[in-house]
Amino acid sequence: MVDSRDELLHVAKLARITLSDDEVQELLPQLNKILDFLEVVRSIPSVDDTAVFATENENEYREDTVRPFDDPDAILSQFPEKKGRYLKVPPNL
Amino acid sequence: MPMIEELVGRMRNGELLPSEHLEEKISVLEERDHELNAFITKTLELAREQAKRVDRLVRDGKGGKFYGLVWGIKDNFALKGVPMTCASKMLENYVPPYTATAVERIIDNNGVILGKLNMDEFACGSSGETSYFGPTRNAHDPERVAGGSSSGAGAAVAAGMVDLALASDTGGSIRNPASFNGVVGLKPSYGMVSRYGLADLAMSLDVPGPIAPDAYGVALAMDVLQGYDPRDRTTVRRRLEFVATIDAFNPDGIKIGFSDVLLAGADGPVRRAVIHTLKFFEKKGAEVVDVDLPDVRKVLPVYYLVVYPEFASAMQKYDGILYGHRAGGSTLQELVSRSRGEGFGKEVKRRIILGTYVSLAENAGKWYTLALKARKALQEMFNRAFQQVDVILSPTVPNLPFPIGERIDDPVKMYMSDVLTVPANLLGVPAVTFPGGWEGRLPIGVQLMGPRYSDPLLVSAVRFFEKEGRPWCA
Repeated sequence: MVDSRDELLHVAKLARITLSDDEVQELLPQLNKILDFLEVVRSIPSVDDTAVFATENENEYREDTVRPFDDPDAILSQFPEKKGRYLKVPPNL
Repeated sequence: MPMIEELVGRMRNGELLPSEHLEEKISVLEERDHELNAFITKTLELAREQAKRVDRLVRDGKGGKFYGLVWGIKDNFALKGVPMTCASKMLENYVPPYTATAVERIIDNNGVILGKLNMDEFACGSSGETSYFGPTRNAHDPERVAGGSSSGAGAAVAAGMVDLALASDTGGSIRNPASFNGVVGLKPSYGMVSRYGLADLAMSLDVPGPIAPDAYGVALAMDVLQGYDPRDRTTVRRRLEFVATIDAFNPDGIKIGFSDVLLAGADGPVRRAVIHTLKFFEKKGAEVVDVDLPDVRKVLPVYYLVVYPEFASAMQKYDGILYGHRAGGSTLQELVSRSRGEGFGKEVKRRIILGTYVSLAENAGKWYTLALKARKALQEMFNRAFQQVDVILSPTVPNLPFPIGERIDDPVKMYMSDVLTVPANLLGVPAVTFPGGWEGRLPIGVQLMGPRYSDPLLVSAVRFFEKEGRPWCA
């Protein structure tokens, strides 16, 4: 269970999401209601195997080679902040 | 609404020009969309250009598979140069630099793209109400939800604004809105359609698929959408025949699995429509077999425990750095956390936080591993059932489309809408929904689920019902 406000803020910090006080207040009871609901998973007779392969494919690897992208400007145009062709970010401290 | 087969025929033999047909669709769009809110981005100019090109191609006998049929694309698929929002503030201004494989195949086969369709934010929802751009309204009753997460796809097809829609299904996101809007939707077998260019929700469950007014539309779409894609290595090297086998359904010798447990909690009219449909197939020669599905109602916790961690992981890329919503911040970490705090809506945050919580080192073995083991057990239970029967029939959603706002503040109640659709995703098997009844003007979807790669059989069964049967009416 997410027992306290502090615990929720800890998880939110790990998830890199800031939450307002109102959101914390709304989320706490909701999350615990959902976790209660998920408890049912413990009552399903399970098998001792976690392998669920969704397709018949074998693992496939591709050559680790660089291929040029045809329109780098289209990527650059999405930068929220830039200087010339450089991406601008605040310091990583 | 002309059925897709007839429409294609008219366009193929020159009775109807693709560009004339497009204008008809645009006039429906202009009349209905201010009310239904099915579109996030309209691409009228692009569509008109495409349609003119298709006019010429059809004249030259190169109509492709679609001859200018008009498509809407759920807004979690990329189309180069056209905004792709995933119905989120996070991607409100995002313009993708590439095109999804499924969209590319539609365009290569002369589908005309009329726009990007509304949806629950990042496909998180079962009602269409979590969209940053406002809820989509049900095409048959605008006071009610359109279902979700492919809300715009369901409503746009039902209202006749588009002929076909490309959507995606992680736990019912194609089938739920198709059901609530009285149209046909197929969740294909996992790996049949490429996910390249689709924003992930949960990559072990996601599959793109079509919504159409009828079985023929679904079949025609699947003949184009399916196939191996080197850019998505989970696609299978297999080809299924849809249009070629659409009239091949023979109820004699078909075994339909059913269990009363599938009706638990269902509204009265939904029950009656399902029994009506079951009896129809039985009368035509199919054998109804009682299947043992004791744990079917426990699938939801398993489903969400798989979804949350996969979703939290898939959402890490939205950080406000390279693209998407960027909030201010004096450090990188502050910028990322604030961008995500501002950019995501409630349900998306709930799921990311739950996914992070479930994945905490101190929770190892307590949630996710249990869910995987239970997923395996459910898979074995359904595999046993599929040894006895060809398909399993059930409601698509236990309830009728509900009024807008009724469930949005109660996530657990909202999740209950998915109880009968999530098994197909957990198993990777196909499931189709079609209108099996009407309660007044509200449609009731019936679902057929089959073993892996039985997709064409399911679509042909719907076609058989369309031709030989009649939906139940209150």
